[in-house]
Amino acid sequence: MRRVLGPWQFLRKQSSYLEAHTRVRGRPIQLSIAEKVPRIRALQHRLQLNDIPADALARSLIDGTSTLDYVNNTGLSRFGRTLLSFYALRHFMIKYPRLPSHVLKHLVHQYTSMPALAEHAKLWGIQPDNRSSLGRYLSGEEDTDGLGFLSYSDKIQEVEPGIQKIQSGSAVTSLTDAMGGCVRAIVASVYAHRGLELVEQFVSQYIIEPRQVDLTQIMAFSKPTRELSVLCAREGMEPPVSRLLAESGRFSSQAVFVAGVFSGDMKLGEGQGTSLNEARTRAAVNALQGWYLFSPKVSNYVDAGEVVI
Amino acid sequence: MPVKAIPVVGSVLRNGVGAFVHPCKRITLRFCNWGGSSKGMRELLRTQLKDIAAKDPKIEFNVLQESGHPVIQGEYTNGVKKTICVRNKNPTEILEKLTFIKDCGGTKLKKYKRAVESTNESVRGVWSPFHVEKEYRFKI
Repeated sequence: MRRVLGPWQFLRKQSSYLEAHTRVRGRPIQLSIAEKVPRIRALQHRLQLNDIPADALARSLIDGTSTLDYVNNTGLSRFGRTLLSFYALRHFMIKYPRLPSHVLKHLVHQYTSMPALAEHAKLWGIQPDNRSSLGRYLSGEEDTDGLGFLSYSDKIQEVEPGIQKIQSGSAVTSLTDAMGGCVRAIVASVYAHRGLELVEQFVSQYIIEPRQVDLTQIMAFSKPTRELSVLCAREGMEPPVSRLLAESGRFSSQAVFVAGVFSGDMKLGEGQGTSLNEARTRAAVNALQGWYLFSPKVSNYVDAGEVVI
Repeated sequence: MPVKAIPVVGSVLRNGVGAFVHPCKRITLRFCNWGGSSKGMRELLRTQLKDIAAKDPKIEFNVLQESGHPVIQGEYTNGVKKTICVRNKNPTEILEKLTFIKDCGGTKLKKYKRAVESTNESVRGVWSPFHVEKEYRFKI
């Protein structure tokens, strides 16, 4: 027979479940305390996050390895990571629909990896405070004085001048990971207080748009000429033909050739090199880059997929 | 796989594209409670500090009482600190220096040799001798 739980029993069961399944350590940060920390207020205004409560921002700055007796950003940063990679992937999938999936994934990684996010944290003026709890105690500081700094335990500790001890394990982390983690947590706090639509705007304004990545640099082609001819066959175009457009000093030590690759009357790409073969290959790479980095004006473009050779 | 993804060497973070984050994050105003050179600074702090701090909530203001000449120090997001000594200056002059610290980008002062400096590739492209019409080409 199924036992029906009363409200009190249900609540007690719920709370024991929560205790067993959440790893929340430390006490919550009070809004009245967090609001009075000047660093947090300044961060709020610098990032135009005035509507995000100060306690949420203060929590985002406390890493899982922190020795402060406050709740940390472990859960927030894990959720923020998912939000970030989802919106970055969506952004580039719509912008460059012809990019192969592994290149797209790699591109998203350039924007959402920990070192990349740590750069953002630095730009936002987030500063670390990695003193131990003993160090803070000796300088007569309380836990509230650590709010507003990025709080974490560094894995590199200076034992004596000139000698560093590198620790491992889950109790310590690197500065880059802690900085990146707090950016993820801030994204999650923006989601929690503004909702899905506005977090997308925040991610695009503060994470994606400021970064400039040269997209022609992220792809390498192993057999460009062959790939181009397969591509032309697939798209129902005439087979590509390389033609010499200009040359200089063929029999000298510094010869220059300019080759173009044509499909019928259409010029697909152009490249220059010190040998005929190099110029031809560069022209094919140029044409393939033009194909893969196509960006449509309408957003509902569906691509035929990767070229298989 | 014919197309391979390779690590990007130089990706640039451009402040101001998408969103602008104010580079000056903290300003420390140091004054001496006794010295004559801090007279103007003491007056400024007494009368205008609240307005100055309220006008720029994105900057964290610290006031430090220490013996010596009065000093304004700005800390920037790129890790640079800029310090200006404001001894024997009146509040108006100090305010000018404060505005300078506040509006600075935190980069070292340098002479710009070109009218436009950009990380973008040139739209026109590199000049090539092969793309000039034949009749205009240089002939030996």
